[in-house]
Amino acid sequence: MTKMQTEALLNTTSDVLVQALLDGKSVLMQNFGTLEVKQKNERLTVHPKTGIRTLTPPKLQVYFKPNAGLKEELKRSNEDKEEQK
Amino acid sequence: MAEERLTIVDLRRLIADQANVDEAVVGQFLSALFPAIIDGLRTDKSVRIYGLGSFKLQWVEPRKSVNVSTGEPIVIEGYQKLCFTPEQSLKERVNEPYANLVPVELDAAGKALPQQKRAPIDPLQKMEEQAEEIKDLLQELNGTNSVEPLKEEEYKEQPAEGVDETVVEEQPAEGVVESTVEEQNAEGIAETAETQEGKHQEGKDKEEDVNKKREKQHSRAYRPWLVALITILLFIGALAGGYFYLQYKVEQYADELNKKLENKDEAPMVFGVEPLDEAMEEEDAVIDELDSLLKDENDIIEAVKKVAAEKEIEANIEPNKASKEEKSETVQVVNIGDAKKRKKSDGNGQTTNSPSTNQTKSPTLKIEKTKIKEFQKKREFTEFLGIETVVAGSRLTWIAKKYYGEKDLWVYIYEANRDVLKNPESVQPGMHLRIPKLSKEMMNMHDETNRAYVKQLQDEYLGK
Repeated sequence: MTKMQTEALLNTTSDVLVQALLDGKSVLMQNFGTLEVKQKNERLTVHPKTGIRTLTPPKLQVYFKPNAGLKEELKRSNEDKEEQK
Repeated sequence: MAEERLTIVDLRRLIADQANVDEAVVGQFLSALFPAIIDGLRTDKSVRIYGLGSFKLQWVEPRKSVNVSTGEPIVIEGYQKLCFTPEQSLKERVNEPYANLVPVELDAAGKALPQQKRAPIDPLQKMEEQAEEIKDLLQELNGTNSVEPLKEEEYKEQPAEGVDETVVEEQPAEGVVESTVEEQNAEGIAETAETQEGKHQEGKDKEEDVNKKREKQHSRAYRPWLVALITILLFIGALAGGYFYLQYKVEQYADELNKKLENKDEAPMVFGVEPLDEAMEEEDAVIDELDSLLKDENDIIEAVKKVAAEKEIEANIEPNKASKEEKSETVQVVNIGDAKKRKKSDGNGQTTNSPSTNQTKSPTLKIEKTKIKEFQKKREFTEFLGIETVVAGSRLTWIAKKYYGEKDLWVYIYEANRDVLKNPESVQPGMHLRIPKLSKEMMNMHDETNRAYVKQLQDEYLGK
């Protein structure tokens, strides 16, 4: 595989991922994690100082949840690093 | 939102379709991609994919926690957390369905809604409480009346309107019963006169009961309002009483102080007036008194001397606070007398424990003394750091933090502005508050006695 090919593939991968997310689908990637879109509900917020009450509208957000194994792996690897330091 | 889940297989197929590449190649690419990302994370701590977002490793600090089952304190060690931040463009595109929504400021109209929701709940609760109070009162008042408990039950079970209806219904029924009783009486004339008389008496009793009930129904309709009024009046009365009592106390204090000052021809109550040796003399006198009071208990004398020594140290540290010493003397004697009694009772019970009890009590004694000493002093702030105009949402603690770096010191700001502030909570936007200059001793919150004193002031001003 050439560099060009890899780049093209990487771009299409991100395009596909983005498209899937736009369609409201979650993407489960084995040994890595899950990308998904979550809806945050509307809520009332109060500015603590001025007391202005604001209705914050609902929101769609992209979330990534790392695979449990990966989480632990990264945790452990960095503990080793801290010890080395 | 996750109606559908794409797995790595779907992903492979989709990519292959879009890029016109064999699925196997895409599979190889993907299986190399994720480990590559993880490797990148390990080395650089962040990996960015254009068009998607960036993966980052975030260091979570070690923090203290508690073992839920045993209650032991444990430390959760720090670790790296994998975070994903979507790119701005992705964020916007994903949020497109809601993109036209803008945060809306809610003003008076918006505020009114939650308040309206709350409003009906509170009075109801109060009414219920009041109703219970009324019931108790009525039971006390009409404890001898046998009709009362019945009526109470009715009142409990049904709302006011319902009660009226049901009782009205019951009354005619009772009336019928009465009439039947009378008929029976009429029929039973042939029977013995004694029984007739008895039955008539019963009928009269019933009539009386019914009358009573009617009266009560009428009065019952007004009762909730009456009692609400009475309780409110009582509450206001109690508040006013407390307020005047406090005022009276304060005036008494002021009078005492003035008298003593006149007698001794002392200077007025300003910071740091009285010379040190006078204070020391007074302390000697205090020690003498204490000795005479506590002759038979040597260890207690030691404790008191300890306290006195501590007081001397305080006097050295805070010479400005010594001016009120003589006033506290009299109260101190009383206090120490109390302490003596307490210690005596302790000593009678457990003589072996006396040293430890002394140790535990000396600090409390000390705090009591400083409290008395300080509370009698009227602070007059002559120097000011400036004038603070209160802005919306501000409060005394906030201002104290700004000027002194210690929010607990708001009490002094409050003291300096008693003329405009009725209570610590009555800070209004637009008010001008004078910020007094505090001595170093007063600002030293590391000093334990000072901190305890400020806490006491706070409790007093907050009416605890």
